[in-house]
Amino acid sequence: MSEAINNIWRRPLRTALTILGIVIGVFALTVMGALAEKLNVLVDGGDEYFRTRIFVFDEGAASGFQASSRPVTRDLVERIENLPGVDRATPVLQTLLNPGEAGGFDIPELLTGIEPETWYDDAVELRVDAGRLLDADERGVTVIGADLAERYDLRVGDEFTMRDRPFEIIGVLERTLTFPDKIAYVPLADAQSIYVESVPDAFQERTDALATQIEVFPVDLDEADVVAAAIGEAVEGVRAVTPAEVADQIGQASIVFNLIIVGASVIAVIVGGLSVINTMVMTVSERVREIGLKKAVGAPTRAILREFIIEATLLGAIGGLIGLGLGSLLVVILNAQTAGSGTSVFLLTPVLLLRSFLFATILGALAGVYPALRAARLDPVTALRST
Amino acid sequence: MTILEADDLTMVYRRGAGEVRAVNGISLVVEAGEFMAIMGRSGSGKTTLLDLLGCLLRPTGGGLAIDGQTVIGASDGELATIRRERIGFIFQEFNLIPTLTALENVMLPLRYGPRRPRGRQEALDLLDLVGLGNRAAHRPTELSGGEQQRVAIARALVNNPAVVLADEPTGELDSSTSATIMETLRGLNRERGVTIIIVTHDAGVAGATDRVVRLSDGVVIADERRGSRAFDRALSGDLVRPAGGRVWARLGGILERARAR
Repeated sequence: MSEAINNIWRRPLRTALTILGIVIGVFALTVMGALAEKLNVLVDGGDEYFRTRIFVFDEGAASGFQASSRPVTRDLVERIENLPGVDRATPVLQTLLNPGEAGGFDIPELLTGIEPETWYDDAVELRVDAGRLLDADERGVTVIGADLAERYDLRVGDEFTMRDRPFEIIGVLERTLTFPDKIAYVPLADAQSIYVESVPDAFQERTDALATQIEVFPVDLDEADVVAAAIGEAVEGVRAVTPAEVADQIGQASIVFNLIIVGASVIAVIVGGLSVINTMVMTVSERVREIGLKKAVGAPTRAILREFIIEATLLGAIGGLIGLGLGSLLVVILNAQTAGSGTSVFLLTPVLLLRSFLFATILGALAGVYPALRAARLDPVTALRST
Repeated sequence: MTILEADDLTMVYRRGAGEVRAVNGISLVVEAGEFMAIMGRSGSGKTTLLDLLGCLLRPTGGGLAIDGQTVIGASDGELATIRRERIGFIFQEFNLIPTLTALENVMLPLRYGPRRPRGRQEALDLLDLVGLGNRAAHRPTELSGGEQQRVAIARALVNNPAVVLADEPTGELDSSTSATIMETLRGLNRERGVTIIIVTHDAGVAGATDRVVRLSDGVVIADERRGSRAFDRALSGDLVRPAGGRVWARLGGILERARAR
């Protein structure tokens, strides 16, 4: 082992460049991996959060499952509730907390108006970290997600101004790692009066009927597709989105990011692997006489093979550690910079770190096989007499 | 006791359509404790013979036994074991590993065999024996040519071989250093009974040994022991028989080729 360490420093520049190749690959792998880990947590959480109900939007509403642009009216609730297979339906009015701040990679902050008496979910229980949940017939109060509490430095009892209106915080939710973290739940009536200011005058006379979506809880979740189809048929002018479709929409992003990870890995394999192979082939041809000498004094084929594979593995492992370190450093710095906004873009997990390191080490070992075989198969006489 | 026995040893290389008989039927017996030289001009087959005796090459014909054990038909791994356990090599260019210290170079052959708890001490003792006890931690670049060759000699001895094969051991050294290296080899032979075979074209080197085998065109044309006038003639290459020997060897080659066609 110490000989392998000595050997790789016989050509310091070449070794450094080879290791750099692996460093770049593993660096990319670590940073992209941390991004994907975070996204996968969001996706899994979102999946869980949205999996329990059908969303009914106005037919002309912008695509997506949140902050729908065209409203539906409250009278749909009764019609939907009368359909077979429906347990209950509840109007929800969801809009952006800061309309100027929309877009970006992360989940937007949302202002969500609900009717507490019908908007609850047996499958996904929202728990308060402090305070309590909304009660029926309240006004001017809000329960906020953990990210909002962190970003705006809010506690129960504080006043929080949203869309130019003051709200009293009566509860802060436990962290869910998904949508509710960035949602301020308010009574439906408050959301309605905020909302009408941003929609055409025609709706203003029916303010109390406004909602952006009706959320429908089916009796049997497995029958959600059938129930959604029934809603679409029975109620004209609406679009019923099943939990599976919602999950699909969220999953799209995760597929893209996982592809990026695969891409980064492939690049790492090509760049790192080829540079190790190249270096080791050069190393072998430089040390032909040494190999001949070792064979002459009785080194068996497998001993030569092992020496060169250990050397290549060492290159991979060193590159892996440095790449991992630099990648983690960047992730930590970027996370620290965005921490103020209650958002973190990256998630470093022990599994990710271990995987990146093993990846580089195994890559080095595999890349060493061919050069090592070349060395081990050298004919001792030819090797000894080479110049 | 016979250490090395070659019987009609032959090495034929194919070169395109023809063939080169580098070693053309050499029979040779070396007893334990001999100190001998194999001489010949370049192209005489002496290096090929050394490679065969050192089990670095497989002969195309004939028999070879080292320490009473035949090496014909041995696998690569078995040949490696024979080299490790029974043969010590000394080369013209020393062939030390630059990243290893003198002591580590001496211990190199031990790495490939079974663990020897006293290996390190034995290697140190050998360095002492060749006069480099205080140089154990030096790397080859910090040693003179003569010192490097002494390290190589210690390395050749570390596995207590049946025979030490030296290929032009003084070829890279000036004459006074050459003389000390030859003294060291002679001392090992006299005092420790190490069997040593030196391949050289240098009559001065061969003259320090007790037996000279002269090759020409892959055959032995003289095999003489110290103390006879024939020994001196064999050293100088001034032989009565060589012309005849060469003619017969050439004739043999021509006949072989004719037969092959």
